[in-house]
Amino acid sequence: MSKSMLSESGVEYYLGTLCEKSDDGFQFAYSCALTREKALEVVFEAYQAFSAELPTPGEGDSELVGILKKIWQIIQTKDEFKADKSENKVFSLLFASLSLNERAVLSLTDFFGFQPEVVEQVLSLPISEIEALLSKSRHSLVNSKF
Amino acid sequence: MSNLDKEQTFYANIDKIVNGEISAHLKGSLDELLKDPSYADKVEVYRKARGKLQNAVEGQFLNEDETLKIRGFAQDMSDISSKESDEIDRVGTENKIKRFIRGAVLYGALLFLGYKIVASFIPEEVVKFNPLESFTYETVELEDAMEERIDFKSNSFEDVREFFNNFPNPNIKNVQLFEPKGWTLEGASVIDYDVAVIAATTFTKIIKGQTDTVVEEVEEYDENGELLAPKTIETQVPSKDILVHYSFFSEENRFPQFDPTVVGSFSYYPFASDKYNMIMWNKDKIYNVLVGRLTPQDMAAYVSGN
Repeated sequence: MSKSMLSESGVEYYLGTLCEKSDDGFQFAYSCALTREKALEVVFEAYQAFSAELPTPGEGDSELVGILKKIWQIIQTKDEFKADKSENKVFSLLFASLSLNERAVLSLTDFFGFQPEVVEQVLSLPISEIEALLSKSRHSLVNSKF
Repeated sequence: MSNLDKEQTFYANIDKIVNGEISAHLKGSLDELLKDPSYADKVEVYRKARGKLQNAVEGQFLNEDETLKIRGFAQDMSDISSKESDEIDRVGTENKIKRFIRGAVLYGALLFLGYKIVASFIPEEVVKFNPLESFTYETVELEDAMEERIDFKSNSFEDVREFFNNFPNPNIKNVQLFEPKGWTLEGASVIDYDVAVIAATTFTKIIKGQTDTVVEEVEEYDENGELLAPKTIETQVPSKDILVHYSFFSEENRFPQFDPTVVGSFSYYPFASDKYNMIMWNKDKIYNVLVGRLTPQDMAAYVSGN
């Protein structure tokens, strides 16, 4: 759908509801991608997709869950993110030893405060795997020197 | 069924240990681990590290150009500036309304106690500040809209300390932090009543066995982008109790005068309203007030460590 075909209500929904949560989406993307450049690439791609699709986030989802789910889908299509390229010292210290899935689970649980059932919706991973990833990432969090 | 060993289960549920939400069953299975002092240390390290993680992530956000680019995907740039200035005006008006309401409550408290009413919103004579009424109001507001009312959201005492250190007011900079065991630090605020500047730290605790219903209205659109009838989603969330510590400097004692309650070396003044209990304790001209639903005796026990 081209920009010119968007209805006024659709534009209002995009600008008012989805764009208001763009910082949240960026924070999740950055904690996964580790560099600002890569995080922006993912966020821009996600919001371009939203502006074209004008989606509702899905049955029963909050807007934020829908945004994070889209960002995660786009992250999956990217090449591996290099931890040592991060310009953020805390991210390098904390996340360097974690896999992408571990970073995502830690961010969604200990930053966004989501329960495992919601993390499952965002990442499309079974809860048993989420618990294992969370355990490992928190072990790193406790033992990291940052 | 979980395939995690005991140590993995510990780390997977360490947040519940910090928040006091761990179930009896889980506590039983981790009993041996939890008795080990090194694991108690890990809980504290996790609590602080989680606070640092939250600050590190929360400090990242899109700049103005990046935000405009995102907004521009759905709208020509020429339309954005007029909508932005409308938004700035709206926020400015909202802030004016909030300041008006704060002032109105303060003046209403004075009327209730039979003090003189100030006719103007910019009074020429000094307004008397009633901390008992004001802290009741502030705590109600915190309980109703914590996300909006807390200036600095953090679970880390170190970061809250740094937040207060950034204020030039020496009474805010050097405020003595209070750390009630078993309560979760939610964040800190500085409240300016003109006649007194208050440092406030807010704590919550899960009330076991109780839930609140959060109702959220969701907007949905059809394939043509037309707004459908709104849908509401109800979510059950754990109920939380609240405890707020207020601290401020005052040349005069603004509290009712009576003999304090003394427990060991700790002296305090208990108060009660229909909503909350309070205790006040002071050293020289620094006044501290705890507000919440605990009994004054329990509050005093937290403060004195008895």
